[in-house]
Amino acid sequence: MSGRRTLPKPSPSTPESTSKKRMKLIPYIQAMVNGLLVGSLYSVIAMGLTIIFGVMRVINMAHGELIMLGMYVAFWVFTVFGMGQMAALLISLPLFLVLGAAIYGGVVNRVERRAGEMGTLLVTAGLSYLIANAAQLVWKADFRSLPSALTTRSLFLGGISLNYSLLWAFLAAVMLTAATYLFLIYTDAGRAIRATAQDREAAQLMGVQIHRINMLAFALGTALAGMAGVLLTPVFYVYPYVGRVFLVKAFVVVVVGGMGSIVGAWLGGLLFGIVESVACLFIPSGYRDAVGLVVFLLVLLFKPSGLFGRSRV
Amino acid sequence: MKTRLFLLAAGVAALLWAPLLRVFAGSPAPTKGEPILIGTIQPMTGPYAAFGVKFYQAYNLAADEINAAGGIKGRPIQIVFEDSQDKLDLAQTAARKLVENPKIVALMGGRLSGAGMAIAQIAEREHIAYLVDHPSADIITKSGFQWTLRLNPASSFNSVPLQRFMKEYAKDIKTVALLYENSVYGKGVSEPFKAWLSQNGYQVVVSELYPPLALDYRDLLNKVKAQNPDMLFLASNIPDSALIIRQSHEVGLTPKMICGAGAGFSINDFIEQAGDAANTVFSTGPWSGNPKDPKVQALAEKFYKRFGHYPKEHEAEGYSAVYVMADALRRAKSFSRSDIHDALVATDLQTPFGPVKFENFEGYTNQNNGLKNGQVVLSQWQNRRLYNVWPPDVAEAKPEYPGIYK
Amino acid sequence: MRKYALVLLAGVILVVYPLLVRNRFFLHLSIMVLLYALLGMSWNLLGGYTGQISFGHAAFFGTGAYTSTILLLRFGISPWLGMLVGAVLALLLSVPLGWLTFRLRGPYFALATLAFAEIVRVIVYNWDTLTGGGDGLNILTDLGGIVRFYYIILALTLAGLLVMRGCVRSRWGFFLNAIREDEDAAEALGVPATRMKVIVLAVSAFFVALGGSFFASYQLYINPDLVYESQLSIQMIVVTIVGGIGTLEGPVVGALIIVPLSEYFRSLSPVANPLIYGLFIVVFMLFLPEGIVSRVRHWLARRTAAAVEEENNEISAGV
Repeated sequence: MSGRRTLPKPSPSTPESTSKKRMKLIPYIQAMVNGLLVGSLYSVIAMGLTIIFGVMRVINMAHGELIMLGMYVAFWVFTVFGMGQMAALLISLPLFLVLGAAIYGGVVNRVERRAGEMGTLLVTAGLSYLIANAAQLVWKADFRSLPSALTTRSLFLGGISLNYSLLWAFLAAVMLTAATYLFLIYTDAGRAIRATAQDREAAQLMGVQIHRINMLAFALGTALAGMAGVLLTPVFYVYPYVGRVFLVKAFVVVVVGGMGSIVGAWLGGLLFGIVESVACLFIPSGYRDAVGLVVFLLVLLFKPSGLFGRSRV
Repeated sequence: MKTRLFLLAAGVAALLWAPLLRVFAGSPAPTKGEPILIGTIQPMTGPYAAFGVKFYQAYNLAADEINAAGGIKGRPIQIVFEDSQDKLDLAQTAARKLVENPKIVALMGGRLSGAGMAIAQIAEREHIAYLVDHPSADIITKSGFQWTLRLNPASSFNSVPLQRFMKEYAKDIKTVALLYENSVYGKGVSEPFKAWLSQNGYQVVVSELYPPLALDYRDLLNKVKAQNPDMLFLASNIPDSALIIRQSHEVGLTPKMICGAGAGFSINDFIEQAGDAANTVFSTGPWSGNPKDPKVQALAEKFYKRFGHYPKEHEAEGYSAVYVMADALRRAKSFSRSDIHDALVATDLQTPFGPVKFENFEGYTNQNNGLKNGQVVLSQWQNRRLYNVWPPDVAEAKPEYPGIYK
Repeated sequence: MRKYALVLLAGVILVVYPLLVRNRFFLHLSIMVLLYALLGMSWNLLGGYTGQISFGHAAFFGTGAYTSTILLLRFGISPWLGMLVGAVLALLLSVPLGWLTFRLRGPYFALATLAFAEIVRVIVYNWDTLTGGGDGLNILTDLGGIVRFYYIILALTLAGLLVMRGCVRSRWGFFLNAIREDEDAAEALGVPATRMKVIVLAVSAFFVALGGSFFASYQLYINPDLVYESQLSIQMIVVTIVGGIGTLEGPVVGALIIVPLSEYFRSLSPVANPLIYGLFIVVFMLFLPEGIVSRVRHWLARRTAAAVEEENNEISAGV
């Protein structure tokens, strides 16, 4: 039996030329759709980081490892308890809030006060080594994945394939963005976070307790990272050192979208995904990574506050 | 005042080196009854730690068997592991450290082709034998190194069984798409194959060098799909290999044949991660031994009993490497590094990984000729197991061609 | 007088050291210490003295490594000359980079340099006709023994130290400090901040590239992963921060401590060494975040102040 798929014959009522034109467009549309879906993964990865970065202006080198931990939570929740992503998300939220607060209170705060950005950079780098290796010792170095029923199935719409897992991740990213956005707009804590991100000193003058806000931001950022990991588990592989894959992408999206802007992180991720995907059609894929980086550099040079951010450089 | 302080600080720092002397310094040459040490450099941590573990298990299994049978001339062998973290500079540092210990008689391992090169350079200058069991870049045995020997095939050998298959069986293949990772391995297996394709009248419709460890390959796969090739050739490591296969299913890419080039396509992790999507995927390259050979079956059973999974390419290579070492140690005139080197060069041994005999041919030095001795085969995943399918004299199953990739 | 005697003693020890030490792995570690001291010092010039954290130095390191190796392999040019060419190339590369990115501060600058380094790496990977791509470049000519390399890196590091010292001790150093403390205020007072930073970056890139060429000739095999995804890029920064950022001696002390220590950790446990290393960094940053040299100076300054006060008390008491 031949493995070749046959193209659908044009129906008699449709003029052949229009149908042919649509066929030609399909790779481009597919690339854009794909880019959009993958982009939402990028958004989700960047979301936690944008809050931490926006509020504290620190580079959290352990961000990827926090996502990795979230991936393992999802993996074990499924493997041991047979529960799905929703359960994993519900467990991750409090778990990672506490973890984030602990990391901030125990390590980051002290170092940031005494050694500023440089110190935080290094101490979070140290944490990243520590967490990744600890994960290897506890869970072994093997690559794991979830045998999700959704993972390999796609929805076919007019010649375009949409992977179910990615669709779900897209929706989840939208919901997560919306929830965080609402939190930031309508709660006192959220407003305080935004104020601090926009202008630290002014916020202090208005009575915001910077120390508390930093901790909240870090905890929230960590929780978002953990939940991002849960969403990524069905579409990628879980292993102790997977964090490295995410770190640079996360930073790039955060800067492009605008530090401290949740909506910016979401839109920035989508934009990024689309740019990478469409560029792939025109240039050799060896340079794929470079495309995103060039866009990133351009944004940094011409609009460093990001496409959607409003905070100062 | 400040200079004095600086010197004081430097002096204190320098004193820190003293306790390290104990860890790093070599000790007098080995005496009777003492274990014979073989040094190995593997990624014990880092993204490819899973592979370091495979070699750890295989080396130790072999060493334990040899020691249980009396060791070498009454002395046990012991494998000394160094972590390279899959970083080249650390691999060379580890090699230098092992070399400095006079009790270490030879080196093996490396895993990454780049690490293999870094170690080979040290071996050549320090006159210690380096047995390569997995790094596959041609350049490792094409640089004229006298002290490096390789028992596994060079990466350019990988696609030869596939070439035979295409000429002898799958004669209706006309167009080929290649996706390979931008690494020594990826290019090493793909470029010779590409050259062969153009020389033999095949049309290469897509040839893309991609950066590994991306989240998504769908755009690449769509590019391939648009060209509708008869065959898709892939050179990837895990986890990319599984991800690519899963995603090619989703985009509806269904050529007549999908063939990987060993590495991420011939290991257990591949079938575990890709699941049923991997069914009828081929892999061309080094194998895990002739299944009709009772020694290979014995190894598979022993391995499964002790570690809970079946050995594949890496484990077979590691296990055989230790046996090659042991054989050379038995034949060597003494335990000096140069005598051991000479004994290794003269190796002519049957191992579960196939026959091992180091030859100089076609620009290669001390390379086990995997082309001649059938060390490379074409295999296929059928019912979640990997079977050799070509050439027929080592086949365990019939090839399912065209493959069904729905 | 005493000061010079001590310096002379230190110099003699450094020169005679390889002749006394038989253990060649020790020599290797010493070479790495000197290399990291050089790299750290160069990075520190930018990071410690102007306050701009750069993740892009790996690109300069790689430029040096690849330039000298390509010149050697393709044209048979001696690594000495190749090293200089590489360093000049890195210097030229750094000028537009600095000019474009110095308007950015803090983490933005850091990320821009990271992007720059990544882009250079992608180019190196893909331009395989020139750089060998993922295959890397292999040196088969004999470039000398380990002792020779020790003296070369010793000379390079001492040269670097002298140049840094010159930069820092002069009026320049004064301006650089002003820039670090408050760039806008410094500019307001007439310090040409951007121009100075570009010069500093150029000097920094020059020396890092020298280190890169040295390393390529020492290691005899390079590939893009080596120069951009190895221990080198992060260790360069660790060494400086542990030793004391913004101090001249910091990177040297940092290298002296971190190099053998990280190697010790690696030997201690093949499977858990990143954990130990990470733990060490975390604990160190909790207790000594300003770095060793800064802390010691601080402690000394307090002791001096206390001594002076005591002396003053004695004087006023009419002793």
